[in-house]
Amino acid sequence: MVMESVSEYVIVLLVEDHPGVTMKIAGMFARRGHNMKSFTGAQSEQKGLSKIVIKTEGTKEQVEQIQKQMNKLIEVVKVQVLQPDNSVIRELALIKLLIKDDLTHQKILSMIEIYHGKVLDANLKQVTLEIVGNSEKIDAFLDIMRNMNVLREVSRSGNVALLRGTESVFLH
Amino acid sequence: MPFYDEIYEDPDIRSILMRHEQAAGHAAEGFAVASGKLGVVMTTSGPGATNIITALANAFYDSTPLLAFSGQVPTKLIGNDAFQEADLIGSTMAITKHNYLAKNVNDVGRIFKEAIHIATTGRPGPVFIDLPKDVQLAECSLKSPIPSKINLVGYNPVSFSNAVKRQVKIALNIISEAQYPVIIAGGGVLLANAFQELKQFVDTLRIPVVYTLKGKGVLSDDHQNVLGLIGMHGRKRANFAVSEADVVIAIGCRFSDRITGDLQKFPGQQNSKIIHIDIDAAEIGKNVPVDLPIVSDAKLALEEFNRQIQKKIKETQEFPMNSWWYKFIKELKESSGIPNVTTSGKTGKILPEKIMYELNEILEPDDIVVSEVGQNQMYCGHYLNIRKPRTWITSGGLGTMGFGFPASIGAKVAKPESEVWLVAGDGSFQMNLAELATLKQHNIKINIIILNNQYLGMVRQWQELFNEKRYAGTCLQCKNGEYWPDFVKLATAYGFKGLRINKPSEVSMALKTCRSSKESFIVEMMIEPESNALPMLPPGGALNTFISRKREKKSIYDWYRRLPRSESEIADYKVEISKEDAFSVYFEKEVTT
Repeated sequence: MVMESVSEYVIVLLVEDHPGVTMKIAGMFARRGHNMKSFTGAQSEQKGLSKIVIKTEGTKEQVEQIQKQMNKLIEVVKVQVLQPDNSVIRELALIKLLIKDDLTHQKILSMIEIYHGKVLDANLKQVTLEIVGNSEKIDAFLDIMRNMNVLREVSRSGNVALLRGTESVFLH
Repeated sequence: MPFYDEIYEDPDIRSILMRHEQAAGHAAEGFAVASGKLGVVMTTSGPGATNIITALANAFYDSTPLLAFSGQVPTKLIGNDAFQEADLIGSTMAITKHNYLAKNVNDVGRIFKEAIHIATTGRPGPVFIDLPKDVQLAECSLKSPIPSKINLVGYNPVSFSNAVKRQVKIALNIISEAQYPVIIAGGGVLLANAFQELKQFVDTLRIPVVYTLKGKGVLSDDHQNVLGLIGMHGRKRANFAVSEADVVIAIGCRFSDRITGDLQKFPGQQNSKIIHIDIDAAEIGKNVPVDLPIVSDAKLALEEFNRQIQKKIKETQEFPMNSWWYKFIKELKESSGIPNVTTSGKTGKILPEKIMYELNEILEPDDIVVSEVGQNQMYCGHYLNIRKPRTWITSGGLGTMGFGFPASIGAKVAKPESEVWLVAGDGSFQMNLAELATLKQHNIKINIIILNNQYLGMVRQWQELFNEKRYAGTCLQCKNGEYWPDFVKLATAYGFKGLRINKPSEVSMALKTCRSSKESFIVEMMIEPESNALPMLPPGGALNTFISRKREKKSIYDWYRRLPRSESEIADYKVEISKEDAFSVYFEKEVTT
């Protein structure tokens, strides 16, 4: 058997805005042993419908199977699998950094500038900022902060995604 | 309670109170399979509702259309751990096609309409509705409580499409080049009511048919192309045909592990091709790689097949059947019938094969056979001649012991004019035996055959074959060798008659007594304790590896040897089919209608 290549996929779901829908989707992932790397959900542009974006990892066949299983859920209206080459995928992270001394303070501020971060709250003891980008960019920034031993806390939004160009994933 | 009060004197709704909710669920399933209609089951909240979980799971695996609803504590108390509260929405999520919690009485009509639609369309399945008590009591303020239209944006089951027509065309090309094609008929054929269409397809192309446990009966076992059950306890000739196939046409089956055996050696891996027709796209490519997927209702797909074949015949005046393979299969079938086993077993008790032989003698085409789960089920699946669709009922995917008895009650209610036979093991019968009281109360007649080997036989068989006869937890005897209950006395306790037999010579008479009884009747047949359901595939084994009795070993190897493999061998096997003969088969339907 040839080892099949595993890669990352983003699954975008348009679902009816009912209680328990997220539980059904998450339950399906857990029950069938699929991997969920991030999960985001909020209202969509259409009334009564929510959009859920799930980042997952697997072979092409596995992702196809997830797509089919999602389609079977009654409250799931549409399912689309996106990949980085045909879509815009972004994540937002809120990060709290501790300031130890002037030197680290300077380093932190220059790094924030390099990564196009935006400071939201700051005082002499800490900086709270936001960074928007793909997950790898956020990972890279967090790695640096970890190495500098200044990372206090992070809250990440998970991925949101849209198809590139005028095409849209949903109904019309 | 409010719901039951409402239907108390309703002339249109017949409610049968069962003794246990699980049994009620299975009875509704039995009703659904026998009638082809929706089965309905209602329970109370909390423990009543949790008791139907097994039935819901069973219906989910077997795609049985089932509507289940239960009471729930008043909406205000939900989430407070009130008396007899249980989270049924959470509990039933993974084992239902869909579920609802009705929080507002004005939604109830819509929910029921949607639930029935979802349960019976596409790939059918169970739908569960949670009905809080206050919602049951509330007055509906809508003028028309049931909406005229169903609006489910996320649910559009595909039953047919133009893509199917294209795929069928490709499929026919693949089939026309096949030397050893085989059809696997699954439960989907039954759910789609595609019996006539399948028969026409098979009669035209004369391709051998094997079936899964849930597909038994979709084409009569007497049909010359039908080779029988495949899989772990399948007929050797059926497994042989599939393992040698170069094209497998699977219709409404999901290639469960019990069917395929070792996946690496199953067709589709090397030189053979798989054409898979299923209404559920998620089943295609799930377990085996498929060469040609056809996402369609089985009936509509087969109609399209038949239409295109007919067109081709008219155009080319050639009959597209593989005559030598048909001849080979016919000979194979004729040479491997079921022998009448007249001897008794090692300890002098009856051999199950004898019971199956005698049952086949007494069964009428309209009789319904319901099996429990275990060895009894495999004996029935393997040996019994089922001649009509919906006359064979069993628990497939979930393998629920205790399913059979209540399911037989549901079947009898659906088809009161048919004789209903329950073939049970002593283990599985005891799982829902309280329903004997239901039989008596409602005057329902079931012919109950208990194959008593004093063991949980199937597990014991595995322990014998793979665990050096360490019968852990499977012996149902007392330490002193006694066996309880006395099933004949049990029958008497519930107001019926019963009979216990020990000898092979008594089987026929016992079955006749059972049939001619006016009321339900229990026949307890003492079978050889260590009798095995053979042949079987060793777990993980390929379809052509068998564990079987010595005397049976030789037969199938002969067929392997005889199977023509080269062009010249095939040419030797070819038969001339006259055009008149061929066309009369094909156009039979057109002429008669």
